[in-house]
Amino acid sequence: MSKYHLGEFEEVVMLTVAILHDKAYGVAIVTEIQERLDRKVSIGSLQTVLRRLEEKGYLTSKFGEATKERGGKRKRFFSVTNVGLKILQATKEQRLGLWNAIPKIILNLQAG
Amino acid sequence: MSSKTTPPTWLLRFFRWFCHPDFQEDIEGDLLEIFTQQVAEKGPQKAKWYFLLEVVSLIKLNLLRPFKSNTPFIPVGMYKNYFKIAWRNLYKQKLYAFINIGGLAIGLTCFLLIFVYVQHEHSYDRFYPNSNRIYRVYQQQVGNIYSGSDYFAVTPAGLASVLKNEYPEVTQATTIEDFEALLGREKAYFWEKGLWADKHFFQVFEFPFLQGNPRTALTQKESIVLTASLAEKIFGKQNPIGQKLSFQNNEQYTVTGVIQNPPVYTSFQFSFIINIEANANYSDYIKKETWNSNAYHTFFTLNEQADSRDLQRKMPALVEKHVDYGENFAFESTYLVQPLHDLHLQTNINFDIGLKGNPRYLNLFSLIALIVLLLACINYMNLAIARSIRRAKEVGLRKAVGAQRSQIISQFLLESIMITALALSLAWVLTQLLLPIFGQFVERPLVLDVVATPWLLLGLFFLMVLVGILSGSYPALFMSSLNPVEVLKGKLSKKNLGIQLQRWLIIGQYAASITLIISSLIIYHQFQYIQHKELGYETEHILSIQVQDPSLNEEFKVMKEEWLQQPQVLEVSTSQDLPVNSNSNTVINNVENFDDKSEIIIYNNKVDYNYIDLFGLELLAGRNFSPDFGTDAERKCILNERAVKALGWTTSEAVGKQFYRMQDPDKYTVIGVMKDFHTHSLHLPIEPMMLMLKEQLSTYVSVKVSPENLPQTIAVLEETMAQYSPYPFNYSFMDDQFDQLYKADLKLGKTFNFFTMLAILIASLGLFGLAAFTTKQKTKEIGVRKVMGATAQHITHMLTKDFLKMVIIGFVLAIPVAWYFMRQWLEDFTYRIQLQWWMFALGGIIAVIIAFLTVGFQSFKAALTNPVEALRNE
Repeated sequence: MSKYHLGEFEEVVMLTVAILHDKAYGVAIVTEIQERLDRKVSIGSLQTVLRRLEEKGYLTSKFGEATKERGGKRKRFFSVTNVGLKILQATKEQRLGLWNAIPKIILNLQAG
Repeated sequence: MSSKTTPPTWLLRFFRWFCHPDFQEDIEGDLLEIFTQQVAEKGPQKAKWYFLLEVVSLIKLNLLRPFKSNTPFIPVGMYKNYFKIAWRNLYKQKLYAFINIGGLAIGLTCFLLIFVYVQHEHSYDRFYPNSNRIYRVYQQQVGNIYSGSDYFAVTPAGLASVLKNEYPEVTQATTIEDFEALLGREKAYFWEKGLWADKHFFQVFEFPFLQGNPRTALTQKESIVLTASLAEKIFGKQNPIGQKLSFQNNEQYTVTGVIQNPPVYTSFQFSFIINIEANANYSDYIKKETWNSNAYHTFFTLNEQADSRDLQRKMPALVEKHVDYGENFAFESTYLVQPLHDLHLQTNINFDIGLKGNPRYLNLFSLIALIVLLLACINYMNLAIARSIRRAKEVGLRKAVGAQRSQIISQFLLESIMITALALSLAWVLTQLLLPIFGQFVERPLVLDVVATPWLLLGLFFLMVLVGILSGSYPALFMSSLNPVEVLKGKLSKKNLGIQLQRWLIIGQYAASITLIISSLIIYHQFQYIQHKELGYETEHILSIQVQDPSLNEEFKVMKEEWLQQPQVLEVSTSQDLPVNSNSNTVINNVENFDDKSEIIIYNNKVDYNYIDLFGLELLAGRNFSPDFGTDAERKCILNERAVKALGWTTSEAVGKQFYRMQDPDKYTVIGVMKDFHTHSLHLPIEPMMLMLKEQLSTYVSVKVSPENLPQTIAVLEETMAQYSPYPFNYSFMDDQFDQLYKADLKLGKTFNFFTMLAILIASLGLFGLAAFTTKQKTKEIGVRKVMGATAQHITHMLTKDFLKMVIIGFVLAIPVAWYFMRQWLEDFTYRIQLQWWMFALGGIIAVIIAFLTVGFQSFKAALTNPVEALRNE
């Protein structure tokens, strides 16, 4: 459906944002990816992807309340938009379609 | 938080600088959060490294701050507000406004005046299309000192053609001699400056022709080219081409061309040019194979690729090949190549051609202009700092509502630029008014014309910004550094108000002013000394007439008799030179022990029987020239003491002794010794001098008259002379001629006085403003003191002693500076005053008095006010 294809890291970020639901801000996303995928992510590479996705309209963000932590700086919470969700689903279906197209024999060989 | 460690500030700043402002806050928060984690887990050192990596990883294209102006919005309202506040401040405090603007305007006026002058002096001879390729040759004869210099501008007649023919890089060369003469036709004769020049003149100096052809204008022997103004003077509306003019008793000169009037910045001063082939002396000299005399100026052009230094290296060979003065001439010639552009400001060459500037004036004037301008800037700074107490609250408030430091700085700079702009417009008007007077003083037609030189406008704009920033930068930096909390709480103490700097600025101002005062005093005394120094000859009530009419020779004796019959005429004499200005010199040898080293340069003058009496020269031994002996005109001479001493004799034994003169096989006999008189200005030492007899009319006729009824006497003299000669009666007084010797010095003195006064005025303005301010600050204190019983004297003392202390420190600083510069200046005079302590002391006292009057007036006024008023004030 879409001409835009999510990159692998973009997909991971969007999925993580979806997982964290209301609590998806920079550090939380980094930690989540680290825990689930055992993958180190720098703030720079995360942020640049977040802003790019936001610009595409797959993500949206709003500021949280200021707290005494983080030097009084507010957190920016990201969430997946409807368009973003559709893209995620489309991606998942593409993958599944690919999986389903693999001849059974190969999978069996691997398993065996 | 587990630790109080913070990430490196510079990294944070760096991050804030490059990060897009929209993303900055939350990303910074993330960074800090991770940093805190890292510190807890891995310790501060590692955390910092990690922080660095994180920041670097954030340099991503889509996270960067946009490159275009980050504040596309120009806060016009803010600028409007700055102007309004600046204006209100000026308006509310008229005294400060006056002192600031007035002081700056005076400083800028000086600067502009001198700028115009300096620029004018540097613009000479640049209008020829090929001016940067024009050079001339002058020479040095090491040791042949004449009037204090052994450089000579004159060269042999044949030099131009040798340069042209033997040196391929020389494209054209011309020979010039300058002179003054009567020129005209029928009854209309004019005394004009002219040039003898050969036919290549207009190929070197490309003056635009109105009529005639520059290639052929000077090819005919008796041809003459006029400037437009002279052509109009002689011929009116007639066509001058082909007309005959009379010059030096020859009526056959034909006008072959008319050139545009040369611009004012032309070194050569002339209104006509005559083919030099008509000059008899030149025609003789030019035939000579080897050169033994110098009388002409040689100018030439080089081709584009040539380097004048290469030509310079070839000069010794040229001299070797062509120059030969004969055995008896002791000095070697060195030929020097000089660009035309340097002609105007080169002043130490004898017999030079063209109008000269004064490079010493230029440097001194420029220095003074800068000092005066600097003093005015300091005033501004001082007053701005003093007023900062008033303005501090404004700054506090601005900061409290969110002004950044850069905004406060730009506000104050803008304000000082605005004040400079006001001052500059005032200075502009003043400069236009003063320029004619100043131009007359430096003898230059100075103009400040923006229309003709548009770049000047740009220059003025830069001047405005520069002065604005110079005077406004410190106040701006200082004001913007104030802490809003302290200011608004009223916690400003005197200490942090830059009082210390302010003091030093005032001290500096006074040091400069006092240096100028002391210098003026010393210059004044040196001039007094010059004017009252015993010169050895009389200058009062003596008229001297420069005789131009060669036909007067025969009638001179008759005319002299007729003059002497007038009771007012006391004595008449004719001479080649006047004692103020000994011009011609020669070389003599002692007979008895002859060798090369014994050669003596001696000034000689040809005089008649009456010369010694008329000028009151004193004879120490021997006798004056006298008609009774009949043979005095034949190698008899009167020497001065210097000459006698140089020849190795004493005054008493000199009479009757004999010596040789250069290139003359016969001996000269001393018949008298006269007392030394000043042969030149007091800049130069007294030189050996010899007088010889020439009864016939020479260059000058001097007349001693009785002091009564001078105008009538002059009228009689003129009337008598008119019977014998149609030439103008061209006379001057000896004492004026004497003053002419020191014209440059006198002008320097006057300029110095003028700028000294300006400097004092500006410094006093500053001090006045500051005193007014301090006094106002202390109104309450004075009130309380008075209530407690202080007298007016106490109060005045209290208020003035601080200022006087600063003036005295300034004085102490000024002494060595003034001493150093004045010693240098005086060294230029062979005869000079000694520097004495009281000259310095007097300068200091004058400064203290001025400062006391400036400050004391205000203090005294404050001391006399009723304390009730002071205390009720709030």
